[in-house]
Amino acid sequence: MEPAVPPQASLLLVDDHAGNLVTLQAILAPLGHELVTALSGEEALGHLLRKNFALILLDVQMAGMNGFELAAIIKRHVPIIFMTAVGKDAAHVFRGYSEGAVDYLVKPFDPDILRAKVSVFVDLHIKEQTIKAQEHILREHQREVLERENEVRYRRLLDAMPQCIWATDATGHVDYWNRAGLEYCGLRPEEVSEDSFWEQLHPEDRAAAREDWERDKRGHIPLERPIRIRNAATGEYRWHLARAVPERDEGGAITGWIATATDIDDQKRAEQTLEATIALRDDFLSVASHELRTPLTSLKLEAANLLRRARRGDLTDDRLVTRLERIDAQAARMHRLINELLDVSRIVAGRLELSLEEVDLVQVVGEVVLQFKEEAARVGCTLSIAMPSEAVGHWDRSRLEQVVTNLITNAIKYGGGKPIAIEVVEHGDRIRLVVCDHGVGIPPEDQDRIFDRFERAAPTRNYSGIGLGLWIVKQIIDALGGTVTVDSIPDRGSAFTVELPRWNGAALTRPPAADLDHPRFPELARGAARSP
Amino acid sequence: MITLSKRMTTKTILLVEDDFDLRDIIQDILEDEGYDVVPAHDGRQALEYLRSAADPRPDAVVLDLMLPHVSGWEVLDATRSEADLGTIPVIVISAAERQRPVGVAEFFKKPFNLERLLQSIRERTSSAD
Repeated sequence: MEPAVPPQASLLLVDDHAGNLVTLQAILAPLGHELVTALSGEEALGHLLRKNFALILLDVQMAGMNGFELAAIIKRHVPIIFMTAVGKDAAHVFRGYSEGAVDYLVKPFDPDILRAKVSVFVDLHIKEQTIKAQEHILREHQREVLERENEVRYRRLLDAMPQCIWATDATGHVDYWNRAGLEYCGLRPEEVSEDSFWEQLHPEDRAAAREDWERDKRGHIPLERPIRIRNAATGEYRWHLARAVPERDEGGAITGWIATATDIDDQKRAEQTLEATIALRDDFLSVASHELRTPLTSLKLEAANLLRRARRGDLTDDRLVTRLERIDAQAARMHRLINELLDVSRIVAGRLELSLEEVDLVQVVGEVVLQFKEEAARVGCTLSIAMPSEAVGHWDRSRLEQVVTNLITNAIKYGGGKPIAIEVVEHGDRIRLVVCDHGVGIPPEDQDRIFDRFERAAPTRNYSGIGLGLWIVKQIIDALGGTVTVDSIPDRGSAFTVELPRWNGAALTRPPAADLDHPRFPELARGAARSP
Repeated sequence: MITLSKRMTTKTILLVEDDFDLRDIIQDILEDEGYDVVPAHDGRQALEYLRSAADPRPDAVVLDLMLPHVSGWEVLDATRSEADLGTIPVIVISAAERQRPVGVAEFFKKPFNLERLLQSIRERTSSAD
């Protein structure tokens, strides 16, 4: 009758006669279960609140709360065996079952039958508990599996995102890098440490960003900041927009932070380029308006003076022609200046295009000298030339003319009324052009700067007027593969030297023009025949 | 530098302007108006002349500010600080500045009105008589 090792269950015995409880205890003791007694319905309820019972043995006839009333309160949560001395008439029994009894027992009890019935219900109870426990474990397990799946999905999601993503713990220490983050920084998961993150930032951004982070994470508000992060593959720093958002649990406490970094390098560089372009444009406009003022002043004065005299009837032929020539010269000067300004703007935009052809420098110099001969002579800067019969090379004719014009007009302007010497010399594959004046010269501290473009940051003392022309000359000569230099002594004069290679392979944009006399043998064209 | 023979009523103008064309034109016009003109290309030449106490002492200075070697600003500093130079009226012509610098009698922004410049020179040099 006794099970081998019966599991402990708790049984509640309720009877208002202590003697009956003792009898019950005696009968049930061999089953080995815990037996709890109660002398009233109220006491029974007290026990029920504190313990989980497998079965209640309940006396129907009790003073105070009777069995049926107690059963109604218990409401079938625990199986009840009613015990009664009263006869088992049908109505009585029915009420018992309807109030939640699972069985009836009539006193006096047969101990074996009682023990057997109790055992059945206890087994049932135990099985129920076991099932409930298993259910609970299963649910726990399922929840864990779901969590892990979510976690996996979450990580997969983070890894699928192109942005670099980090997660931190509640104190703000980085404990997770997504795949993109690891790849971008060239790190393996096992190499990562708290400092690894900060080490990837640009040195100039590092300290400030870290400071901001330490300060703002305490404020528990999302942060946003541009920073530069080193790309491991290229070694260069790229601008990113870093954002950090706090993660909170149900109570609102911060459990960590998620930080993302979105690549904004292209936009940032575009912004910087735009800013630089605007600054350049502003400088340009400022210089342009300044440069044009002087020739405009000369022109205006000349015209105003002529007007005064005309109104006074005081215009004489000899001065009139000279004055009108000067007005014409100033207008031409402004025209040249405007062209130079346009040139500068074109060159800066990368639109300096050379069309190369066979050019005789001697011829070009000759033409320019002819053009400025009179103007030069007028101020005493007579032009003298020393050139071979020809000096041919592969250059851009009009740009070369521009160079020669610029050098000669500068020499006249700053020539101090003294003669100007122009020289062309051949040195095998290289041609040299020298324009030498004996005028005011250039201070040593300015000699490096005269080939620079205007800069607004330049000191108020500037070598006015020369500004743009020489920069353009340098750009053109550089593009042709040559060099331009100056030697100068203040009050003694200046010598500008241009050296050009006859042929510059890198600057080639068009194939040499074939000689029409030898259509089938282009190698017999003039250029080739001239090689030393 | 050209020194013309002095007549009692002839006023001398020290003209400091580095642009050749502009300097030539202003010199031409002033000489036609009957002034003697001492041209200078830069601040250094101007100060040299002023400090040398050479004959003739200028009755006025027409000064451009943007000059090579020594700028118009430095010339102004000298006229303000050196006692015997402080009495010479300085008329500034300038492309860059917007307003009259301190210690300057009159200021003209390029391009300026010829009549007004001549009027100004007339006024500033007449008091010397």
